[in-house]
Amino acid sequence: MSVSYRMHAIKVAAKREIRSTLYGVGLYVVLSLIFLAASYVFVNSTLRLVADAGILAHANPITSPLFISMGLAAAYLGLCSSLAIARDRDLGTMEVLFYGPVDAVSYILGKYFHQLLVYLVVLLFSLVNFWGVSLATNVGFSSDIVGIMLLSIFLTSCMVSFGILLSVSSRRMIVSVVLFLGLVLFFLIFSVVHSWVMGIAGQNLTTTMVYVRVILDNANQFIKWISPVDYYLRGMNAVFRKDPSGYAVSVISSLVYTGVLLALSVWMFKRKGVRR
Amino acid sequence: MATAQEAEEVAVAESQEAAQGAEASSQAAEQDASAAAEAAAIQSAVESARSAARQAIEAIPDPSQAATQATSESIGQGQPTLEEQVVYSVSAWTGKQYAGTFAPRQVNTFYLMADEYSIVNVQRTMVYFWPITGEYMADWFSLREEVPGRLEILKDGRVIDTLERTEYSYYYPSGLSNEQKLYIGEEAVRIYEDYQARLDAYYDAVSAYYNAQREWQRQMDQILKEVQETGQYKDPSEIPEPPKQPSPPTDFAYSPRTAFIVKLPEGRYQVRLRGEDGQVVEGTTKWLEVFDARRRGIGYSVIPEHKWTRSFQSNDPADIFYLDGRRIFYIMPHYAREFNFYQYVKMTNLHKPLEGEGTRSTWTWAQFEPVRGAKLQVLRGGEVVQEIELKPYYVRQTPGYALGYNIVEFNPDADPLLQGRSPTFEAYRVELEGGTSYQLRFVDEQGNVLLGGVREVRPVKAAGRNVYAIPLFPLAIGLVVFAWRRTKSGKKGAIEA
Amino acid sequence: MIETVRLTKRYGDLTAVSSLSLHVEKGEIYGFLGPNGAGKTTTIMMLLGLLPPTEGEVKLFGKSLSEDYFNIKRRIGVLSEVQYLYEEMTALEYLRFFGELYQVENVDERIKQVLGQVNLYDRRNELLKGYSKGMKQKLGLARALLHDPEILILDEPVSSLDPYGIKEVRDILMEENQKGKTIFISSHILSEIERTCHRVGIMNRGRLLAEDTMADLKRRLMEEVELVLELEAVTDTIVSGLRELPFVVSVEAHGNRLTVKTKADKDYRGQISSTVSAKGGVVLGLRRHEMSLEEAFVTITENNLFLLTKEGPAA
Repeated sequence: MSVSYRMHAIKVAAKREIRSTLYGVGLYVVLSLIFLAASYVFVNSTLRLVADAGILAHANPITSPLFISMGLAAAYLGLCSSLAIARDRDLGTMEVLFYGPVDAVSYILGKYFHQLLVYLVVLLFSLVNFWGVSLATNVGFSSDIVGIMLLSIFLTSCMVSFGILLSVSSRRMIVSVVLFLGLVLFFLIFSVVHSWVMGIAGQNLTTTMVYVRVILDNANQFIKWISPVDYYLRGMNAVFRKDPSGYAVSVISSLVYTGVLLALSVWMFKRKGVRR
Repeated sequence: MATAQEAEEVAVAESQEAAQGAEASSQAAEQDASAAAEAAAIQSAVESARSAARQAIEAIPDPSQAATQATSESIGQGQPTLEEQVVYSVSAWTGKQYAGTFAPRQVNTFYLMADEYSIVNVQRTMVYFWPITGEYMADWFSLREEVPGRLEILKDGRVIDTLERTEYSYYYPSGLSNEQKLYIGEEAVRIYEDYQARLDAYYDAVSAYYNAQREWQRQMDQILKEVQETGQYKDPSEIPEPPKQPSPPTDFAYSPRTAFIVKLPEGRYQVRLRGEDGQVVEGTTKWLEVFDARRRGIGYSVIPEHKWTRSFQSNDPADIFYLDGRRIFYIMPHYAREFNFYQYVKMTNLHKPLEGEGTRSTWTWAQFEPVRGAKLQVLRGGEVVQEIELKPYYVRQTPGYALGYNIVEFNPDADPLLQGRSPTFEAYRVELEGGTSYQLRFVDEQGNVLLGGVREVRPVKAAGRNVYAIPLFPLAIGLVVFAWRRTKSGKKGAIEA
Repeated sequence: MIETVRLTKRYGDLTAVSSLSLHVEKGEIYGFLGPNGAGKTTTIMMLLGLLPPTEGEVKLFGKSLSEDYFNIKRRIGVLSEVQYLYEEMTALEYLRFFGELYQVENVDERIKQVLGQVNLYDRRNELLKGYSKGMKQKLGLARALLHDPEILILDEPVSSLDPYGIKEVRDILMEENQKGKTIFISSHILSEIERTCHRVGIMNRGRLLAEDTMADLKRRLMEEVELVLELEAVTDTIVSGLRELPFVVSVEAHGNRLTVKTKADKDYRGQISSTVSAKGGVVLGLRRHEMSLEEAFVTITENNLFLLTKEGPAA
């Protein structure tokens, strides 16, 4: 019985949130900015390559800008997630929900599914945008993109659950936002630096760099499991390498990561309580 | 009657003649002696060069070992722990050439391509792990000892074949940086001896050349002297042609070595070396994974005309060629096969434990031999609009200070400037108009489409403002929603829920 | 319906609520009084499960929240002191959301009803951003009533309302109580509590100091009764005559009015009246000054705490 109440509460809460999001202007502005950025990348990479070389062989040139836009959308939704709970707490609207048949689990999951539903809307917009761009440039739109979009849902789930955990942990919106942006930037930079250092040929390494490499690699063993950015990059890699089992592993590991973070969020939420 | 004076004059003349004759004989004798010494010196130099070349060819290390030899620097650094091991040295066929690796004791599986010859040997050497690059290295130069025995190949626990060491040689028909072939057994010896014979002939020709050169030089000196003395120029027909320098052989053959030549169908096997005492040599039992291609097709090496140094590959049949306007490009097709990335990489990187990790379920295309005897068809709307033959082309630099080049068909008969030169490449020249979609496909002599040889060509439209206008549609929708919301929620009074 | 057993909440060294045991019967209107910082809101938060108690337990409908969380929550309606609304929604959307959350049947009909009750039906399509504080409070009440809960928990329900609004809310609460609802009101508008509640609990510094009916509470707190007499003429004889009475504490004269304080153990109005007559006075009017709840409240929290332990009502 309580499961059905909980499910109902999740559904109703998520529905309210998504309606609120869709009625606001913020999402549309952000989407346009993201698509503009993706178009810029597309024009200045793929189209420029074609213009320079005159001819370019590529199975699916839309993939890169698509991934960029989905990555940015995921980061945006992660940021919204990091704001969500702290904002509710600040504004007091969280308390009102808990007067009624809403518990920690349904509240957290309501927030999670809200962002995921928003992401489905984002995907719809992405589909239209990239289909339009591919039509305008005649680069074609392959069915691979469906697989990419499906995978991106799981990867975005990681970002959203990460944001929710941060939101539960902090009492203030500004703290959540700073934490989220700071951590995501750190993970991104770490990933880039780590790849770069690992890519240096062994014989070109000085002794110091050897130690740096070892330290970075050891740190990466831990970070790759907690960083939502890494889950996204691994998934992207699996798609580019046309690695079906990598794709499957990406989906499963994303689900596990999401589950763990959401469970942690519920536990922390119950410890902190609703009231400030 | 001759007078005394006349007699004296005759005697003087005769004595002068005699003296001149003696002098001439003396000079000729000196010249002969100098020429003989010079010829001997040339012969000696040519013999030294021949001997050095032969020694060098015989001393060239096997490619598999050259690739895995520890550098003196790495051996000298940090005093790594060297361990004497029995290893498998492997020269595996990659599709284009043989690439070497070795499997130390710590590696229990090696990989080979199915239905292709590969070279496997069992040798004793000094092995150590170099942590900076994360690879095992061998000091072949200090220890390289063949472990005698026969290689047993087992499948499902049963011996299916036993191999003896066989002679083999690598042969390069067009030089070391080009196509590589493997010869086995007597053929290996024959190809090497044939190459050596031609190398010997070359050195003999070099020797003859230098002698001829010397003789020609002497003749030219003589002519010059006569011209200087008489002041009369010689007719060009009297000027001897200089001797032609002989060309060395353009091919190359390694001296034959012995190893186990392995060629197996796809499957998982076990290998081990059975020593002369009848026992399996310790440390030689390993797994052998023989893998085959998942897909086969035609790979395109494409050279854009306006950037001929920036060629690119397209091996995946799913690749689409995007064209920007009217373009000319050159296609060099080759056979391509798609292999499991891990197996393919590991095949030539057994000594690098981390190489290929995490790639067990990814795939890669490998380039094989060029396609021969095919025609390239260009289709538009399903209809063949062009049929293109393979032709040789030459890249001619434009004269003067300006940078630039032209790619012309290589036809020395029609273009005297091309005489004495070689074509830069052989390819199919494709010229396509912009704004239209095409299809490219290779067909054999019977007109059958070659598997995996089809590519779609799409013209890319200029980006234009559309690419930046389309992304604004979410904003437009947002504004509409916002306006609607304001209108709806601003109304008072009895609006039905 | 509502029961707490030694409910305690501590924040480090600070005890916000100390061993609170209260009991609210079905159909009762219970007033919860206390100054700021007394622990009222903390208690309500613990009742609702929004704050975990340090010790003790809470039972609603005879069960703890952990036993039947969702069912209990569906049967409670809550109005907080400050209204936290989704300001991007209209009133209609807001109530529809909660209607769906509580799975209210015929939700549109019900929304119409509750909005009508709080007089906001005509403003249902306006964004909540534009609502005044009073309107927000009324909407909060509508939300609390929407799912027809059995228990209403109200924290300062009329704090932002004008007198007309206060009367509206009072009428609604009385009407709902007549339908059988149990109402728990926390307030500092003491006159409203006095008018509305059957029983009152008074809290200070985390402790429940008194819990009784209005009348009994006032009686327990009164040491003296103040009588105001209006005479035809006040003479010294009358004043001194009254002062001589053993139960009279003090007599003050203001024009033709006498304020006589007597002990609270009995009703001495008859004796006062006859004494005045005996001294030649004519009583034009005699009334007893009732201690208001405000007076009782102030008295309890600052003085006479020991009075709360007296058994039985004062005269």
